[in-house]
Amino acid sequence: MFLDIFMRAKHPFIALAVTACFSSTAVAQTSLEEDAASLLDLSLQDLIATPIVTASRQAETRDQTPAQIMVITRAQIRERRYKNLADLLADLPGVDFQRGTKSSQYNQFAMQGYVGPNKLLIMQDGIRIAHPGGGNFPVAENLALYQAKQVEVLYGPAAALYGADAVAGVINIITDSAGQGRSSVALGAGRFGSREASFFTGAQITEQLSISVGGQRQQSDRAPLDRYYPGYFQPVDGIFGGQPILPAASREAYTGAISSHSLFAKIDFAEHLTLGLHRSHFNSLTSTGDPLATAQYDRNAQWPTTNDTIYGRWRFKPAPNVDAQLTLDHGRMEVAPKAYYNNIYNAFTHGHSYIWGERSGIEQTVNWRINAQQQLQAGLGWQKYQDIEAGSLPQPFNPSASVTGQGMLYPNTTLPLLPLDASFHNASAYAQLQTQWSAQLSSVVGLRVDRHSAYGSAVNPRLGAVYKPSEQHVFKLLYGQAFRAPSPEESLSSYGMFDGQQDAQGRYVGRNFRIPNLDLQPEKVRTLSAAWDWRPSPQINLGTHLYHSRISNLVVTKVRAGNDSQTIPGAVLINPEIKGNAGQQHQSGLDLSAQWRFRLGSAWTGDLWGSASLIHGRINEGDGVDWRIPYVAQHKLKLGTTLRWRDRLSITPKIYATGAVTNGRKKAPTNALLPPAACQGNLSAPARCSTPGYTLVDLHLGWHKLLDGKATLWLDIYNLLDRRYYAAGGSGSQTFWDMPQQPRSWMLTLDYQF
Amino acid sequence: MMKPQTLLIALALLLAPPVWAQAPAAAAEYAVKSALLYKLPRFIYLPNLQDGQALQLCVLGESPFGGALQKLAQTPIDGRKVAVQHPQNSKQALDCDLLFIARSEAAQLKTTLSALSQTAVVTISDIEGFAKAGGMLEMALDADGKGALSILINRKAAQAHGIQFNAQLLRLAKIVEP
Repeated sequence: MFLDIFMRAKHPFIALAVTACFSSTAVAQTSLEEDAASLLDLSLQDLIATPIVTASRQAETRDQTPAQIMVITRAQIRERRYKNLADLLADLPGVDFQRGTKSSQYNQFAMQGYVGPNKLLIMQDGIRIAHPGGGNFPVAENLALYQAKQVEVLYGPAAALYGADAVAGVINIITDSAGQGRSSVALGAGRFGSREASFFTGAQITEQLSISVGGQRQQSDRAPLDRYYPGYFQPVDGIFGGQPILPAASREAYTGAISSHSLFAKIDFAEHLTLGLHRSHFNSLTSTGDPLATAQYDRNAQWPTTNDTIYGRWRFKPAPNVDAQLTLDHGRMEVAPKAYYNNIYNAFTHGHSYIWGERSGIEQTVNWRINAQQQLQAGLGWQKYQDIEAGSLPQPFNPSASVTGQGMLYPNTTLPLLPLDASFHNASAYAQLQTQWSAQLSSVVGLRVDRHSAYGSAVNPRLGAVYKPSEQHVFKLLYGQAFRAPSPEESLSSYGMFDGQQDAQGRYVGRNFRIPNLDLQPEKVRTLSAAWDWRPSPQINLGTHLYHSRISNLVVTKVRAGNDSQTIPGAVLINPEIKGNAGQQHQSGLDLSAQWRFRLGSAWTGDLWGSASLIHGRINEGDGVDWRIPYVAQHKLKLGTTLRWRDRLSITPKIYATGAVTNGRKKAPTNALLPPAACQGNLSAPARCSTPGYTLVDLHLGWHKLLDGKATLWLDIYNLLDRRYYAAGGSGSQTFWDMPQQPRSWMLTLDYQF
Repeated sequence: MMKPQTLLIALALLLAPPVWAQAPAAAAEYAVKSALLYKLPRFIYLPNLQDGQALQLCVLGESPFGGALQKLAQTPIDGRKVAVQHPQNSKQALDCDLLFIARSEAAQLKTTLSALSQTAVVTISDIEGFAKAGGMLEMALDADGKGALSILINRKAAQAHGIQFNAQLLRLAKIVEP
């Protein structure tokens, strides 16, 4: 028929149009087959809830976005036992995860060489739920996934769409909608005093009104590491000012308890208005990552971080081809005034801390379907930030008094102690044009302009292309820029304690101080990436992702050589630490990933997934030397499989193998009181001290269809082989080089869905 | 960072519409519907289906699924082979286990349903008002325009032939009284 019409066409343009029309249809049919096959993986519930991408919708499929993107479905979240975002991140290609190594954020991680949570934009339903001022915060058990319908992970800079701080990528947790009527309750208990509970329910109150709510609570004493790693927890004196404040003979046992809770609620009024809230709370000890020589293990020395976010989103249609939404959000984070350190920086007394940050924002976005080939997304936004940072306070901060009205003195001095605060705002405008040049080729051009009250203007582009020559192959190319404004956590960070010593001029002498830097400048990031998705059959998906990134103006912690007499009038600080823009970093890497769905006989089905990552990176921390990037293994391998016997049993073993990871130290511990480290001998650049690599096996078993078909019993065994292994410790001079990790632990959970 | 002027020029050039480009087809709607259609047998009790017998999955009228169903049929459903059929009329559809009635058949829907009324075929369609008209399962697009699907089930029509829907499916569906 096609040939017939082609031959009869009197005008060559008509003939060409007919040809193009038919070739487009052919491609669409193949695409339909491919899409249908990929959707089979979804549960019936998810399938029904899958938005349908038609010519008038703004929803984007994975093959349309030029960035490397991973979508983790609810079934995968359940079967692979991603209880929280930390579990999920640790299993992703290109991610290094160091658990329990940082006192203020607990976990440290790097995504394709970008170190720290402040490089990653974390959202729930498109709303930021991370630190409102863009600082680091705990990505741990507090970011639970019981409410998640799916999690989308976008690699690489996405500043042009999501904001200038979307440097390493964007994670968006998509929650269940109330209309699906899914409810669940889960209760779990396990080794080392671990307890957890969660619930989720949704109700369609009227045809126009639906509500979904959920919550989660978790606590764990975690393993007494001094029993499993006795050599790392030998009792030693806690010394300050040359005096043994804590004698070795009376040193306490190790403790490392954590707890968390989170709350989520969403109200949908018809399809036009959504109101939501999200709270996450995480509590760890301020001695996390510290050895006995540095800190007193004290169950009350806690770092309780609470993040609250409320938002409203109004969707409307100003024109037939235009969808618009207005979003207002307000985020707040507080480290409660009761937080205190009991460590060497505070003379082993209570050095209280307080952090408070707020962000209020408004954003208007539009999605304009210009024609069948082009779609324009644009937006205008404005955000206001406020922040307070206070450390080493002799008493808890009083939130009801002003920053200047706290009335505190530096201990052992007559000097007033003034916590720092900051206030700034940012206005932004962005546009992104997506163009379908042919059935095979599409492009994305985006541009974002930000005007920051403290850091001035920044322009960040995003350019990408997708080429899909056949259903088996998709090629993507993306260039993106981002700038990350320093968070108040970095610019205002300060702590330290005087021992009362004064110099000849009567000035108090301070050592081991951290001082603020109000002149920090934004980090600038450029990334070029290429991705190739190869689907040799509907059951196999192979991904290759190649990237190269450069960061300039990198914010690093450095020692300011010499004496500082400006920061605290009446004091002289010897070689204080300060955050500065001294650094540069570049990294190139390759992530290979694979997914295979298979069937074994009539009763068994399975999924196999895995990734292998290679990265070569160097960081110049201002000393003119290129070092290996800390907390990033040059190679790592992650493998997992889920085997299902009918719908009754699932078995999910996961293997995580990582090479050695640089912990940032340039030499082995010289202080005999500090614990041992794997670091030996003389090192020269780019090598620094490394924490040894390891291989870890986790096993997750699920018995399904219990209790009238509604319950599942999960047994999760972590570190199945009971290996002793270490995470790369914090880079501070007094923390663990190699942080001992948890021995074998298990958790039994009953999950009831109704 | 790139100069703003350079970027604006690049943006302006790329904003120019590509007049030769052809419209990409809105394929995903029927990708979802075909996957849903293929999943449905797991949630439906078919009284006449014998052990070892292939499941007859039929499409009556102009199939909107392209080759998607054939591709999906390469994967058995719970160990049972699936045969995708395209009957020419309702009489030929009597041997089907599940029958999707395409929109092209909307005009003669009453006649088709009447012809099938004496046999245990699960009738499925995305014709608007299908369940109310006596069909068993309707795939309806939500009226909100956001693209999500609803399943409408006419239980009476199914029960008349001993066809039972799984509780999970019923929980997700809206029950329609004809």
